[in-house]
Amino acid sequence: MDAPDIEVRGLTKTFGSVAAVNDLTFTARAGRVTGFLGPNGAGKSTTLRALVGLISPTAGEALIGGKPYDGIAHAPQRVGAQFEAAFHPGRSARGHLLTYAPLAGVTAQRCDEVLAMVGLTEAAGRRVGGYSMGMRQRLGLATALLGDPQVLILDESANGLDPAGVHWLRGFLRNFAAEGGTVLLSSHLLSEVELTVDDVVIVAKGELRHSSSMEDLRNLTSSRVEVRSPRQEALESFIASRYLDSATLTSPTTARIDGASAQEVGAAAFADGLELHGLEQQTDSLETVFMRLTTEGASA
Amino acid sequence: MNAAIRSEIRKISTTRMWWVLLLSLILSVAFLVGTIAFSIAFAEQLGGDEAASLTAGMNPDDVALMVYSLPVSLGYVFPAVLGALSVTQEYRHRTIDTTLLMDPRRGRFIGAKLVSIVPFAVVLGIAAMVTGVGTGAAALALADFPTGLDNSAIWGSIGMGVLALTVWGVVGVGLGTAMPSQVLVVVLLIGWTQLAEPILRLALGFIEPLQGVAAFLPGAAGDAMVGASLYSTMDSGDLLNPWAGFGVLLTYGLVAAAIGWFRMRHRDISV
Repeated sequence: MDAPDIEVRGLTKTFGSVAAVNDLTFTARAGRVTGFLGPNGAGKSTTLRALVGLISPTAGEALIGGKPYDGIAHAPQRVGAQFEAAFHPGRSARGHLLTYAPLAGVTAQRCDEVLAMVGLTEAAGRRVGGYSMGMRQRLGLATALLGDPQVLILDESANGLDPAGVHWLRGFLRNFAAEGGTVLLSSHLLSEVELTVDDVVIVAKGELRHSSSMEDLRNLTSSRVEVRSPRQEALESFIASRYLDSATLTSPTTARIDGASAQEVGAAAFADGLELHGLEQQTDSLETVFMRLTTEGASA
Repeated sequence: MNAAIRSEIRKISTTRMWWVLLLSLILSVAFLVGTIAFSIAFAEQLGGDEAASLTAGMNPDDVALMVYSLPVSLGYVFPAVLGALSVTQEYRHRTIDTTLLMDPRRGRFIGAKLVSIVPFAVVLGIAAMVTGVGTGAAALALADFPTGLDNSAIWGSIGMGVLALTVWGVVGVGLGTAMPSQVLVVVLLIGWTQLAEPILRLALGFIEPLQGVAAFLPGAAGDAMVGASLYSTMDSGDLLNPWAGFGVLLTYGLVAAAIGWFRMRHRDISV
């Protein structure tokens, strides 16, 4: 699969006097799952809608394979998108897909295929009005997959899925990207997608806050070690000789050492013959880092 | 364009709306035409002077034609509502997102809506005329009144009735695109067809200089296609000739659709 990249360049969208998205630039690459993260109201949906031509940008561009959406020939066969559940409640899942089959350029057989892919074969004849949130999400994904696209743009697709559903979606998207596809998946919960995505683009208040691989984001989590020793003088000289810049005494018998691991501090204490009564590593959770990035005023 | 039309036809056929409207249309036409036709046919026996005076001096074929125009005068709200809902439901249930993802050309979307309503409106039209003519002819025959069904001109008018109801479906689509709020457009359609226009047509009939205007109202244009109207027998002015009525009514639909297209052209489809 030779999938196109998704490029957002200097995208700005204002509704009245409110800037929903402000000079946003990022790229989602083929063969990777990119998480598009931010709190509610950060401008995620607006950006995704601009990518598929539902919203026209005030300034900047939102391109797929270098083209605006309405310039892509046979768009449903190149790009699949899912927005907040949008179904006529009186239609069956199969009926819903059949209405779009002519536009996607596919047959009824493909409708049954995508229903099987998302595990809705048995419910295919039931009216969507009686579907659970998770079933609607699956049907939304089936709709996005109808034209067998190489690019998936998914707005909060994991929202409302049960743990088994999230697990299934993860496997599906990992596989889609492994075959060379491009996936841009928005979410307001990092924890929901942290095991799914390769790259993260974090936005808040319509602006870019962070963009990196998931691995680099994890490295932003700082860790510290707390050591306790009954020998006050030995503890003092231990931190003075080894961790002069990064350690502080929080009590006469307790020291906190920033940016260190328990392994490293324990080995050093053993080498120095320091008697330890406590050795504990504390790490900022990824969620804390995410909170810090999205609530800070300025870009990080 | 074919794909867009096929998609739109499936949208209507995969929901219950169209045949719920079909059944409602048949029931209400049967009831209303039956009531009116009986009161005309049996006016003398009932001793009702008003009903008798309505048809006094009319030749029997004109009375029959007036009865056969009733399904159009009374039933046009059904294809119109079906057409309007085919558009407004896209907004109401947000399927408009997926529709425009599948084909971002918005002019084509509206064009396909206008075309795809036709087969369904034809079915509603045939059902209305069959029900209306059947009920009406039965009432006339019971009263030993000529049914006019041996007159080929009357059959031509009945055919025009089907066409009129079909055009009303197109007018509904136009209104739905111009005014995508489902509640608003349904209230407007029912209010206009059942209340505002009948009153306007009667009122304009009494105002000498404005008598010609009434013929250009959409309901009057639809009635003109059949060549008779309950309202025109009530002194509410003359009707256009049938094909002029067709042109006027279709123009209402297309102008509304053009307004809808203009509004939708660059409109953001956001949540």
